[in-house]
Amino acid sequence: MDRDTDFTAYLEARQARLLRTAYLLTGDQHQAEDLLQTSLAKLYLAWDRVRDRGSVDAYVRRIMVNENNSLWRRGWRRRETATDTVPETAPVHDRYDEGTGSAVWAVVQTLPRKARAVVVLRYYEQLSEAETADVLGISVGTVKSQCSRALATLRDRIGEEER
Amino acid sequence: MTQETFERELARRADEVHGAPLTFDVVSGRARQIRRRRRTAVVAGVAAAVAAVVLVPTALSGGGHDRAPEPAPAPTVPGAAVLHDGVVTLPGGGTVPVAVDNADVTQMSVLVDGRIVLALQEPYGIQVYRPDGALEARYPVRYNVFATSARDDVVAWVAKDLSVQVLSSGTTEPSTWPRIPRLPGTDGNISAVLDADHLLIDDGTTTSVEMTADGETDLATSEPFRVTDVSPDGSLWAVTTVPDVDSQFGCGGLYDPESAALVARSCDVSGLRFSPDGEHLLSVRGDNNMAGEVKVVDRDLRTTDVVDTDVISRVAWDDSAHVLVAAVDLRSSQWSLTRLELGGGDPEIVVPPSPGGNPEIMSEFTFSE
Repeated sequence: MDRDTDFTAYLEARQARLLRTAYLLTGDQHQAEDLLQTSLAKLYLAWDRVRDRGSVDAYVRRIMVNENNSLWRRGWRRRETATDTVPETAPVHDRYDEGTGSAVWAVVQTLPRKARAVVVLRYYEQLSEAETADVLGISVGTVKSQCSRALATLRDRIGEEER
Repeated sequence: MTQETFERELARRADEVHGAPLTFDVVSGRARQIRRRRRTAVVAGVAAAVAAVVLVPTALSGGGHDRAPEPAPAPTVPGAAVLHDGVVTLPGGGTVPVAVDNADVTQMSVLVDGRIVLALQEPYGIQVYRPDGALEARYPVRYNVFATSARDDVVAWVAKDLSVQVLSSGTTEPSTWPRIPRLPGTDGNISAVLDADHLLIDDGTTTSVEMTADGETDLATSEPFRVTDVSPDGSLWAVTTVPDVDSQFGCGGLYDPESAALVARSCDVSGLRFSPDGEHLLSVRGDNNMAGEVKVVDRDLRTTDVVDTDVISRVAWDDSAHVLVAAVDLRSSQWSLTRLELGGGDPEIVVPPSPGGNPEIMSEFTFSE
């Protein structure tokens, strides 16, 4: 299989899942699509160096996180109004949801970029603490503390809404 | 509230996301853009008020794990010329009208004989202008980028037929060299012009070939890197190591080609460009045609000044003690040109804020190489 055919097969098989991860990292569909396109382009440039095809997902995840944390994208986001408060969004309720979904999403949206990446990799990508630490270049202890803090924030938020 | 809550709700939120499928053509096209930006080492940045552009001196910090040798007395070369609004302002203050739109220009050099060399998107190619601004010649190219010698006396580019063209100051026509070396996976790029007889060639990330009019030879270096600039006296090369997935930009270094050794190295800098006297370097990191982080470092690669602003479109040495910064406020699309003095001092607004285009795709100010 030649290089481009090989890459195209990966692209077709994995892009839907990767877009979802990108969305959880960015919180915005447009930014997620742009992040995914850039990350896949960088993966394509490095395709020959990723010899272990079993590790491509890990490789592209790392590109996505780095790209999302990059100087440029941070600046791009600064164009939007930064706020410490949770945006007021219309809660989405369905028969399985008593507002928890909205609360989780609100917490995720207010997390700092790297903490958000920890939550997404641990709780959506289902990476282990060690794998998450490896992707983000941080210690396992930091992964544990970020997750613990996110859970505590969620508990506080749910508690406030119930009061 | 448990971990399972997070897992369930994130999965539910993610499952609602559906996008138009990306095709191979779209992704490979974006890859070509990224590669082109890496090649041309275009400068970049993010938004902020123009008046906030300041140069902040720092206590010497970070930087070289190894110290560079004491600098030998080095020749000083001219600082940057500036193309803005159809006029090239030369380092001495003279001006030359040139009938081009900044939106079409990707690169500029001013040769020591006064001719102006532009790389253009439209018409795609290299154009050479006489010292009075009249168009002298137009050359079709494979890629609309060129490299300039440290002394501004030679420029070189790759012609449409893949031959290398070398234009020296004082000569009318470029000399035609053999085909640009073919490197694994790509045609080569010109990393640097050492002089009228010697070029360095890279594959986009690693400089691995020295080229002359007679052919090519492998370049043996202590480790893989791409040459980003050559000191005015030619004794040192500024280099960037190959970025891996953990480092977005790679590390910067100074390489002594005589001893074939990296004499200074820092992973806090990259995209290094020597000052006209060779005593300092600009470190420029960015993406999307803008710079997000600009520092001035010494020859040990220790930071001496930081350009403190959010959005920088272009940055260059005005002279050995001053830096020119083309900045843009993304909220208002107001562009300005500011001159900053090393070590601090009040910024000098050279061109006050005025409306301009999208810095992601063009720059209202083009600095000479």
